[in-house]
Amino acid sequence: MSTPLLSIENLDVAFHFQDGDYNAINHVSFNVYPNEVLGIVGESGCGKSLTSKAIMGILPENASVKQGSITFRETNLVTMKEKQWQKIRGDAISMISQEPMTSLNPLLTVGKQIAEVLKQHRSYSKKEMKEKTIALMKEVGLPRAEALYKSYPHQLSGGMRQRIVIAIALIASPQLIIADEPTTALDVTIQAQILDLFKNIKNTRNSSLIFISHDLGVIRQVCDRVVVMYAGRVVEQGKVADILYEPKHPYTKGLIQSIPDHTKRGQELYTIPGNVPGLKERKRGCPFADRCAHRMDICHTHFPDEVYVENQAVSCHLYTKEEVKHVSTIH
Amino acid sequence: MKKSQSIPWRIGIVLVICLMTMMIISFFYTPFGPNEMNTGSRLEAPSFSHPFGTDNFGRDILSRVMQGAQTAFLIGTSSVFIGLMFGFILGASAGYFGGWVDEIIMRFIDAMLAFPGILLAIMLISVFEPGLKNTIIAIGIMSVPGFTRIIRSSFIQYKTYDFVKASVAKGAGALRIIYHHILPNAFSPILVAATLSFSGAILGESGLSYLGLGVQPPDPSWGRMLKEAQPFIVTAPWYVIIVGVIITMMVLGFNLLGDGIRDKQDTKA
Repeated sequence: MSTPLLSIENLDVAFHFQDGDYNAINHVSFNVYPNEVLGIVGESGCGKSLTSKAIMGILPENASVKQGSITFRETNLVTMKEKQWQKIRGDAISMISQEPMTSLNPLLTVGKQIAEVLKQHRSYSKKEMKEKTIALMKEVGLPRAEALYKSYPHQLSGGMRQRIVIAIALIASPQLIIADEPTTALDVTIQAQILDLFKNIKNTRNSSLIFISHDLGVIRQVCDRVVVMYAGRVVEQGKVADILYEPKHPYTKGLIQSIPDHTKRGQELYTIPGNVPGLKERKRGCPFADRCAHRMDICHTHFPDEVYVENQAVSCHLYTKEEVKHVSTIH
Repeated sequence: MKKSQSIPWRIGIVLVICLMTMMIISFFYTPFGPNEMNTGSRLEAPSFSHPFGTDNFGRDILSRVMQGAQTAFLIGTSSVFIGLMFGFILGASAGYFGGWVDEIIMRFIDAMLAFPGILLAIMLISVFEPGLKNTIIAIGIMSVPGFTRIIRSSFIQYKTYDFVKASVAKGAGALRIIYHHILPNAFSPILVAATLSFSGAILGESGLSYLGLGVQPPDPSWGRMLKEAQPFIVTAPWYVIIVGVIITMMVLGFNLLGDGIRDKQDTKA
């Protein structure tokens, strides 16, 4: 495939505590190609959101990138100054946050909040800004956009607010949109509508999308490729169909097994035993070792290198040994 | 919303409106010239022609109290304005940027707080010269630490809100976030602080004028009237009492108003 739009290499993000630094993201590498939708899945606390924040340069105050690079259009974002970040955020890379309820300013009209991005990055006249905003509000499926332009966030429902948040992310036609669990806070019917909207965006806009979710069902519907993260590491990545139907990593297998469906009716649903290890409990070796049914001695001491198995890249010792099959590269 | 109708809040509103009306009327009309002396009628008890009596120079106390309201409101508003302006700049930068900026500003504010305010004002006034302008500046500076702390804490609070983080992700710069996103949301605590600080300023002015450092004669000021009334506390007690009551009304009125606004916010939160 073509050259990646965004390329993350060996990224380490650490939280700084009194007793030292703890890596919340370890040697994460993946690419986002133009016009594709990349899904990131994993349980809570796996570093999905933190990775997206690192891309936007909005890491929490007590966290920082320790090593590695995030290359976007041939510039390394990690070494950029705040002023340069401001030019990129909202314009070239934008973000759709998890919480539509709280991510809008309660004292500004929603129209102004959408137009604000244009005010920041473009030199349009007031009229042009308003026209573009209203056109986009219609595009994201808001009825009576002219009237809604002047309304305040509290007057809108959760689904409408999420559409506003999506409009904010789309208005500057960014090349990369990061959607951090955009459907989690919504109820199921609205969730389906918003997913349709994302499919629409995917088809009509020339943007790449990073879609973060812990719901593989949602990922299957919108994504082209998927990265599976566990405890701050990428354990498997590949095309959605390959990952979902031919999972290789024991963690991915566990995730897929725990999706409820009609064939499992009446049976007890599978759960992966144990929890994601806390930040300070992570040891050397594979973080999944303690929960894994196939663990070996080496799992506790060394994190496996990424190898290609069939069509996907996997980091698991099950595949690093002799039975590694030779595979074409993912792209 | 029921809470906003509380009795203290109503009393506050009534007191402030009464005094404000008195101040506004004094621009057009006072029963006598505030500085018009009449040695024939010195220290007269309240009567029909002089409802509040007269002072030691035979000046009408009512007229002087009315005129003094102008001084009080002028000093209140302008010193609150000065305090707010500097308090906002310092508090917003400390709260928003945090880190070493916060550390430097807050240590400076702590030093100011540790120094008794009225002493600071006396010092400033004696370095420059007593008078209306310097009184305002001194009282304004005295109120900076309070505003800084309040504004800083609301900025620290709002900085963590999702919509502020979201506007960072939109590419908004610090100034834009401070003015458009945080300030309007932090408006109500600032309003409460400003109202409470208003009564503090009036009290401060009275204190300074009482010491002879504030407003200089012949401009009428409540604090100085209190001072002038002191020697006659036995022979003409109404002079002290009336001026004292007026100052109390003003301070009480603004305090109750401030408390009322705060209560109103609590119901929302």
